[in-house]
Amino acid sequence: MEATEKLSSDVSKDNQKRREHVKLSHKYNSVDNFNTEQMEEFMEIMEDTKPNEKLTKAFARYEERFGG
Amino acid sequence: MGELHFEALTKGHKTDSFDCGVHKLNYYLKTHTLDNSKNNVGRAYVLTNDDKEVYGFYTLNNHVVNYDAYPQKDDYPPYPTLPSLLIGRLAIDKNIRGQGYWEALLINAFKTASKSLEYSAFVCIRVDAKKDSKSFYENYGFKALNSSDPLKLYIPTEKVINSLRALKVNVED
Repeated sequence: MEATEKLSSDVSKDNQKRREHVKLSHKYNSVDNFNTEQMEEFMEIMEDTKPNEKLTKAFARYEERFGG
Repeated sequence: MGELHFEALTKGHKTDSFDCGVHKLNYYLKTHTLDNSKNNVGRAYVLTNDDKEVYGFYTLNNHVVNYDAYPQKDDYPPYPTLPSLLIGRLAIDKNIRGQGYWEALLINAFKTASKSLEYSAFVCIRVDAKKDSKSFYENYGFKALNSSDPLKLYIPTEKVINSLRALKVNVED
């Protein structure tokens, strides 16, 4: 389980780096240069990767009820 | 009924009395799930007690989404399709409704999915919702894959993993 969590953590970090690379190197030169449309797209992408609070709470309820 | 827990479906489980109120799902559990597992079409996981009576189940199988239809396609190499994991069926017995087991089934599916990432990869988890279950999935972060078919829902794998990691971070804090 620890190995799985480490892998998941690594995958997540790698994905984050990849996204930064894609966004900054391939699509635009810099976040500072984003126009409004690009910034909205950027925020949308970031929204898709950040934790969902309700989901995190659901994980907590599950672990309290069924264990890890 | 006794205490319930999750495990992979085996032929030792008792499914005869399972009734989720939807004949098609009852029939699927009782007649197809074991064969599908044996034939590597899909895996079924059940909510069960020590007597092996089944009170809920869900299925997982590998799936794909068309590259052009995937909202975050620009983050990925332009293959014709991207790998996904499909929650094919998800149901609970009508006698245990209203006790949080719908959520438990979904979370157990997410936890099973996160474990499988050690051996396989998928960019999102998919579900084909019904009209009356769409809001349930949306509550946990699922979104419509495209506007033309609002019942085809997905959640990025990374969002699930980050939500689980956020719990671990909060616990460690």
